[in-house]
Amino acid sequence: MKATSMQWQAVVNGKAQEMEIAPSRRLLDILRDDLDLTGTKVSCEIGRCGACMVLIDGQPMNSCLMMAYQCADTEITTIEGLHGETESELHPIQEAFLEEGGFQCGYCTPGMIISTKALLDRTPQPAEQEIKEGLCGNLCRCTGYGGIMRAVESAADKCAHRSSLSPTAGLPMK
Amino acid sequence: MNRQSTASSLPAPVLPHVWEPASAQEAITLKRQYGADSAYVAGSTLLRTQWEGGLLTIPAHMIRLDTIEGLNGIMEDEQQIRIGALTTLRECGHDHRLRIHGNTCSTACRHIAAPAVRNLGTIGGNISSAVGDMIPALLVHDARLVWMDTEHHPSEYEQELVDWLEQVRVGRRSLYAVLLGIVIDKSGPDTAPDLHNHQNSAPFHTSLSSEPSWREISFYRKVGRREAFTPSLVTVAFRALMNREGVLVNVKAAAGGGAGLAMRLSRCEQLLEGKVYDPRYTAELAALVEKEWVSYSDPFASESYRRQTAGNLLAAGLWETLHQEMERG
Repeated sequence: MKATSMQWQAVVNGKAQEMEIAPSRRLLDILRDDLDLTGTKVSCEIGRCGACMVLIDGQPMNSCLMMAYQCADTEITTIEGLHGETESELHPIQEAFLEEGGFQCGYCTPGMIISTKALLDRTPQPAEQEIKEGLCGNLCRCTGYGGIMRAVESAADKCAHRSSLSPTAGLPMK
Repeated sequence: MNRQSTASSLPAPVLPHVWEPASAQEAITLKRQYGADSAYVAGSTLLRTQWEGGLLTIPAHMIRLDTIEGLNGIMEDEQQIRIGALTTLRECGHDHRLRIHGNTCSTACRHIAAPAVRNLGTIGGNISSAVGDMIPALLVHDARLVWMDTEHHPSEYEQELVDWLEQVRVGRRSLYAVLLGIVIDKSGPDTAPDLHNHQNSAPFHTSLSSEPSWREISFYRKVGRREAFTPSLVTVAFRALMNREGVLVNVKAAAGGGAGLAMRLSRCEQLLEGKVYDPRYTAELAALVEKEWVSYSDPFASESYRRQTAGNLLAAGLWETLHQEMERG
């Protein structure tokens, strides 16, 4: 009977990664401990808070729930993989969270931003209810969510504006 | 406490073996070989919460189900919709066929956990847990489960969901059977009521044969402690056919939620079967749910609170749904 291989490979933030790891190892631990991508946060560890949110082939997933074999051969995007037109610039969603006060302690923010990215890629101009549903798996204990809602609305406008100016208009931004 | 010495005194964690069965038969062979040291794993979202919460130990052998062909996706023929057990909740919630023919199931899929969890969690995992919030919705669609069990003859067989829940309740569910899929019969706005089944039911206020147009009314309601990925306190589902005079037939109601087993509410169904809805039924229905539904107490909610909530959810849901139908004409 075949057992799942210890050889794991995936593209993380645009870079091919290959390593020997237990197939049941959590993606959260691979990112933080093996790849030193500590922007993905550890919190509830049972899929409730969204602090560990990453994109797997463009879909938001809780990296605390996901085992290595479940995301092998996929494209994984963490908060470190988001940026503006150049790597040193902020992504419009990050800008919006800063400008609108969409965080206080900041611990939930990477997960919030990743979920917002997934939402805006799918629904560029989301209604209030769509924002609430898109971010319902991300919990913030500080802000009361008002700033976060404003940040998502602002991010939608920024992304739409930059997308219209970009020579690759219509393509989702990195 | 010296963290380093504590760490060194602990045994190194044993990493589970992860197996890739090529078929359900192979998966069952592995399960029989490793028994309680093994677990079938699909999306593993609920299993992870149980492992992290200490409710279950991480098994030494994980038996993947995603390597078995044919367990993914939704298919239909003229009479039925068949949902592969490994279809994600997201896919189920977005499927237009399920929205048309299994509306409460479709609604349930869009209200379980958060979008990211639904991207990974599967309908089969939700059912196999025996406490998933899909179950009340599937009960009102008379869903059947398709199993593979090499000890059963034939090895692949269908079983009514309600019968499987009874096996779970009495502790007689098979520990080895692999859930292959879920089957629900198609329904739609113009589904004709099954007249034959109503020979002995309550008298109709109007003749069925004089009313060609029946439409399905259904709803799914859930009350939880919080949004995101927490078990509900109470979940109810309702489905019936209604004609232009407001006569309800083929009434089906179910309640579940939390760590309790879902069940059909047959006395509530009888109360409404063949009747024209009247506002006086609202209080009567709520009271009857409280009497009929078997729930439980935990530190978060007493059994009486859950029963009362289920009664209110079902009665208010029916009232709201019927009013929406009347407004639509």
